[in-house]
This record gives sequence, structure tokens and C-alpha cells, in this order.
Amino acid sequence: MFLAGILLLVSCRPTNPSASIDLDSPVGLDIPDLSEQVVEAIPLAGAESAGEVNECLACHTRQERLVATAEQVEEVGEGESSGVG
Amino acid sequence: MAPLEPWQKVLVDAEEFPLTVHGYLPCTDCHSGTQSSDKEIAHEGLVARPSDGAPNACSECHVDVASSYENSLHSTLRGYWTVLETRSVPENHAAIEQVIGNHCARCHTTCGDCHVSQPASVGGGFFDGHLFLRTPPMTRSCTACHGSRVGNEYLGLNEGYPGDVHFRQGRMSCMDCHKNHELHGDPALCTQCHINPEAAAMAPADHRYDGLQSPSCESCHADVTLGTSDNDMHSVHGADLACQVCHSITYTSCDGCHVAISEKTGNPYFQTEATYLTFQIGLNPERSYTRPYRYVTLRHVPATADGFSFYGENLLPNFNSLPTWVYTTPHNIQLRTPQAESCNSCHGNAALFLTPDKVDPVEVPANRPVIVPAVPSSIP
Repeated sequence: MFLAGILLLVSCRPTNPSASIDLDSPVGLDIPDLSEQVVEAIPLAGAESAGEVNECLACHTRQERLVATAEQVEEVGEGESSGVG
Repeated sequence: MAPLEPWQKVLVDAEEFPLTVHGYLPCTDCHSGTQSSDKEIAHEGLVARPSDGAPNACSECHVDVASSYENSLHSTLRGYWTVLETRSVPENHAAIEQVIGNHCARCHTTCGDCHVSQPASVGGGFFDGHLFLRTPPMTRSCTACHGSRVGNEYLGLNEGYPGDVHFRQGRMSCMDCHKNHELHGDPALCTQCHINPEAAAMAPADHRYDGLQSPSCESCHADVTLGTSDNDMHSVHGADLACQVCHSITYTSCDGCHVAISEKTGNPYFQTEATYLTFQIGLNPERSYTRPYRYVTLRHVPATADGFSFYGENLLPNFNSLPTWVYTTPHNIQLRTPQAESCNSCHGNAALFLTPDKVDPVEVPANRPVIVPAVPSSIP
């Protein structure tokens, strides 16, 4: 019974606590380098997950695919503005 | 900070994101579109910013926050309307609405603008691989928008002037004072204690200094108001002076903002005539129960009577009904300041006070409520 309880507790631990997210950092100046992360096939999340691949994440987690499919988007900014806004 | 590359802006953290609560949802739940390896097909009907509008994707689960957020100033930008309606007349409201839509609405902030992505003003893009951050990163979120005044003051970026003591010594971020209930426009903290019908019917804030001071300096520095401070200046002046009168230093003012649409690109733009550093003490134009001070710090805002002339003649006929030197709470608080060194550092020191000679003659009528008629005399 005791061993079963221990086993249950251990198995309930988060598999990957979000230690890398510094939520308390007063200034977030660092841009994370995610460019090396590649996943081959990410199972579709949620109720639709029966063996399907999440095509959104399959692309949006790969730098090379995003670079290859990027389109030139004209930023609609206030380019001719001058002074402090 | 250098802008992110286009691919960086939309790169999802492959390891972390699928393990988060939001990572368990199908992407299409929030973003619509279609599951497909073909980008064109996948993006058909895509909602890139699912927290735009109300209700939105966030409000399906975060019902409490989303419902109060609809009324928050970050969402409504109601402060602009409060000022412009006062200075305008109803027949000009259609044109004013156009001005706000073209030039001011970019400051409208959604859930995602604070919790997922950088604001458009700094180029957009995920903070951290589409992870949802409970606390927005200060310099990539808060001061990315509130940078030219608050950010520069708080972080000590005005040359020759130190940053705010709460940052320099306390390493405090914006949200250490500006709590989530305030940022979400949630009046719950008031109505938890004030359970009368009036409290429940409190109207949403219509400008940043509306209602209770939240945050207030006294929330932490209670000894100042409780009369237990060992500093004589606190007991002598009491609530006559806003805290910033003694504890802030030189800050930014601006002049003459004009807006228009570019003939070249068709994009909206603005031009301000001048930005400069000031420190001016003036009269509090709206003394109230929660802001009873006689003297406050004043900042010149870039409002100008002909600032919207691109959109029509004389759109602000009642321009003088509000001051152009406005009550302000500079974010560069110091324990010791030049004006508080001694009694006569301030008393009799005309340079510190907004006297009529320091106001543009054209703006004197608008600023009568805040102009100091006579500088407090020096103390023998």
C-alpha cells in the first residue's frame, strides 16, 4: 500500500516543470534561442489526437520551414513619424 | 532591442509549449484555420490574434478576467475620449473617432499583447516561443509601450538622471506595484470591502487617475499617512503635497503633436514639435478624497488646438477647457531630491513652480487651474 502510494506520488510529478521560464524576472531582455529545436512529428493535441500529427506545430517549431515559407509583410507603422509618441 | 526576424516572431517552443495547459488545446481552437501541411490551406481563415475583440478565444475559459478587461483602460483607451470629448463638440465626434482609429487605437492592448507577444510598437513576435507568461516581461511588454516617459524615467535612461529607487535598489518590476486586478480593470478589490450598492455600480475608469489611487505610495509607506513617520516634512505638509512633489526628479514633457495620413504610403503618422526635461510643481486641478493634494507635479502634454487640422477645421473648439500642463506621477522616485534638501530648497524657489511666465501665452487660459499664482515664500 505504502509503495503504491509512493509510486502514485512520483508518477504525478510534472515531467518538465517550467523552470526555464523566469516569471519573476524584473526585466526580460533575453530572447530565447529556439532555432535549434526540431520535432519530427508532434501528436495533435486535445480530443483530435488519435495518432494524427499537429501540422501547425510541425511547421511553427522549425526555423527552416518558417524561413522557407515566410512572406514579405509590409509593416503598417508610423514610419514618417517624428518625435516622441 | 533588435526587432525579431519574421520566423522568430512565430517560432513555437517545441519542448515547452506542448507541455503547458494551452499546449493541450488544438491550435485551431483559438486560431481557427485548418490542419494541413500546405501553408495556404492551413492559414485559410486563420485568426492570428485570437484575443482581439470581445468575446474572444481567451474569454471562453478566463471568463472573470475577460469580462472586467473589456472595461479596462488598456482595452478601451477611454482616457483619450474623456479628454477629446471635453475639448470637442458632438458634431465633431465623427472626425475625432477617425483620428482615434488611425492614430490612437494602436495602443489598444489585448490579452496576447501582454501575455504572449511583444506589442506591435516594437515589431511584435512571441516573447518566449508562444509560452503564456503570467507576468509580462517588463521591458518587452510594459515599457515597450510606456517607454518614452515612464520607461526612460524608471530605468534611468534620461541622461544625467538616476532611475527610480524602486528599480535601482528594489529591482521592482511594473507589476510589483501595478497589480493584475488594476491592469485587468477589475474593481473586485473595492467591492470586496465596500459592499454598498454604490460600490457595486462603480463606473469603469474613464482616465488613468479616475477613482482610487491604485497603486498608491501609502500602501507600502503607511507611516507617512499614519503620522508615525520620523520625518518632520511628512507631518508638516501632510496631504498638501503629492508624494512626487518631494520625491521625484526631472522628467519628460512634450509639445505640439500633429497627426496626418502620409500622401506617400497612406499610413498614419505623427510629429511632435519638442521633447524636453522639466520639473514643475503646480496646483492640483481636481482635488478629491483620494487625491487631496494642493500641490502636484505637472507634465506638459503634446496636445495642441490645431493638432487634428488634417481631419478638419477647428475640431477642438473647447481646447482651453482642460490644461496642457497635467497632473502627473513621474516614475523616477528618489529618497533624497534637490527640492527636498531643506525648507528653502523649495520655499521661495520660483524655478520649481509653474508660474504664469513659464506658460505659453496662448495656453494660459487653459492652464489657469494649475498655474501657481504666488510661489510659497521662503522661511526665515
